[in-house]
Parts: sequence; C-alpha cells; structure tokens
Amino acid sequence: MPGPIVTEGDRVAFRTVERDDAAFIQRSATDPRIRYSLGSIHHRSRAQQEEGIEEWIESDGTATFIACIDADDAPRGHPEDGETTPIGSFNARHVDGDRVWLSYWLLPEYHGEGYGRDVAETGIDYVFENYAVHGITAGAYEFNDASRGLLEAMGFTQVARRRESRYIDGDYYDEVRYDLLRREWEEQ
Amino acid sequence: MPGPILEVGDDLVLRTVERDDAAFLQRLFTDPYARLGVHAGGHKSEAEVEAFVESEVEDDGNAAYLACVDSEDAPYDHPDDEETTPVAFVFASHVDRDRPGLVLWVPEQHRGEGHGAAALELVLQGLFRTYDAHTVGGEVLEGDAYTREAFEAAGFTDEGRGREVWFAEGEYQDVIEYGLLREEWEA
Repeated sequence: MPGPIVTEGDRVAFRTVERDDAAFIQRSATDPRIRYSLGSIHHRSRAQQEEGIEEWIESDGTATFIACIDADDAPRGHPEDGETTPIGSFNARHVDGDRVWLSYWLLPEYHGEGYGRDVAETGIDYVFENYAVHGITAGAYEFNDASRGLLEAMGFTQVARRRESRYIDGDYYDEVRYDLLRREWEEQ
Repeated sequence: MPGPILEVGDDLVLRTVERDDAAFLQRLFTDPYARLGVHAGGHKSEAEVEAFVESEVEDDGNAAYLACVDSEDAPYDHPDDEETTPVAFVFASHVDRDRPGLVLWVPEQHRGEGHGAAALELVLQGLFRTYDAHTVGGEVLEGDAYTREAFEAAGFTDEGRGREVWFAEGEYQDVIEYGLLREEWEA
C-alpha cells in the first residue's frame, strides 16, 4: 500500500511509493491502454519493478508519488486496505538539477473524469514549491490528444516536434515537446 | 593519438578515439557550449576525461569519432604524430535506439574551414551504414552559432527548442533541437 500523504490536490492525495507498490506501478509498463502512450518500451516483471523502485524511484533526483483517492477517514500516515484507492502516479525526474522532466499516468478506469489535471497540477505545484528548478519539460506523442490538450490547458508551450523520433505502437511517431517556466506557472 | 581509420571522406577521415586522446578531449569540457552535449556541468581533469573515454566513448551504446586531416601517406592503421591532425570530435549517443543524438566539438583553431559540417556528414555516413537508426538528432545551445551552422550545413532541420534549459555564460539559454531523417539523408 502507498505510505503517508506528501501533498494533496482537490480530489487526489499524493502518497509515497512503498516497495510493495511494485505491482501497481508495474501497470504503467504492461497495460496496453497505458504503456504505448507513455512510451514504456520494455514491459517489466514485478521483480524488475521492485528493483526499479529501489534504483530510481527512491533516488534523490526523482520525485514520484502514487495518486490516491482517500476514503473520508483515511489517515495522513500509512493507510489500511480500503482507506485509499491508488489511481495513478506522478513522476518528476532531475529534481536535483534545474530542469525537471514530467510524466504521469492514470489507470484507464479513471480517465476522462478530470483526475489527470488534478494530478498534474498537484505535482507541478509540488515541484516548484520544493525544488529550485527553473522550468519543466514534458513530451507527448503526436497521437496523444488527451495528454497534449491537458498540457496546453495548463499553460505549457509547444516548443519542438522531434520528427519520427520514436518507434512505438507499430510505427514511427513524432514526439511533441512542451515546456513551462517557473515564472509562467507563478503568473497563472 | 587517434587510432585506425573508420570512414574516408573528401578532406577528412574518421579515426577511433584512443585513451591517450583524453588530453585533446579535455578542452571540450572547458567549452561551456560543447559540454552540454555530454551533460557535463563543468571542466574535468585529464584523469576524469580518461574515465569518460572508458565509460562513455567505449560503451557499445555510443559511437565516438575523431575527424582528422591526414597527410598523403597516412595509413589506415595507427598514424604517427605528423601523419594526422584531429580537427573535430563527434559523439553519437544511443546508437542502438531509434534516434541517436550527435554532439559536435571543433576546437577553435580548426574552425572556419568547414570541418564541422564535413565531420558531421562523414559521421552520418558511418552511422547510417552501421546502425538501423531512423532519424538522428542533435541539441545545440542557441548561443553556439558555429555548431548550429555546422548542423544546418550538414542538412539537419530545426525542429524547435527547449526554452531556457541550460545555464551557460551567465544566463539560461534555449537549446535548439535538430533532426535529420534517414530518407532525407539518402535523398
């Protein structure tokens, strides 16, 4: 189960990733409804995912959270089964530098209900409040209308289109790059 | 000294990077523009550059070249001092993936003779002959006019930028994203 609450959005709580959350995180590298648009090339076993948690989720350069829907009486500390429902994850890489790379995903059953924006905004607020970063970069494949629409709605600027740069889901696709500077986020 | 010949062009040849080329490469890390490409935040000692050669240049996931001006009788084998002059370093990362990334560094005393673009063109020839890359990319700081012109002269397309990504010479600078498709290179 995810651990204590680190930060909260309107409807989601960001809880720490614990080692026994590997099976949940593994979904981002397996579920065909998630992993192609996320760019997860290699699917992973649970054991590989456990190693991934220790090697990079727990590293100082990375800030990763499990986005949860808490029950009304869920504690701020470690919740029991039934007190919280993990629905996705938010990841920021290179928080120890001055440029962060963003990614996030939701289980398919929570798509289309506004959770994506809540997760992304909660995570971006957290990054700018807790790390001395100058800006944030995010990428989306050209076919990922939902992700691109969300980035634009949040104030990201489309800055580059790396043509046919990735073979994913059966073909070469453009990777569209977006970025957002701290001063732009603070002005909103 | 650079090692044996890998590719032969009109004016340049590509030779292997050897461990004792660290002293030559060390000046790359004193160039605030060039070191972006190898994600180095600052200068390095010669010993650190030797470690870079062992860990990055000799990694099969990367491919690195010294573009050299050879004398007429220079061998395909290891040359002597007076038989060749290295004029550019080109580093290709992730050659085992869809889009290797190129880094070009030309020491100041060798600029102005077209060596930058020629070195890139010869490396593209080597890369596309050797690896099944679909496209090749390159990231160059906006203030690095020499290297930007070299990428454009070698046929790369400006695909956009990252805004204020890298701190160099007292300010955050944009990084220009260059890309070239194999089909464009073959045309």
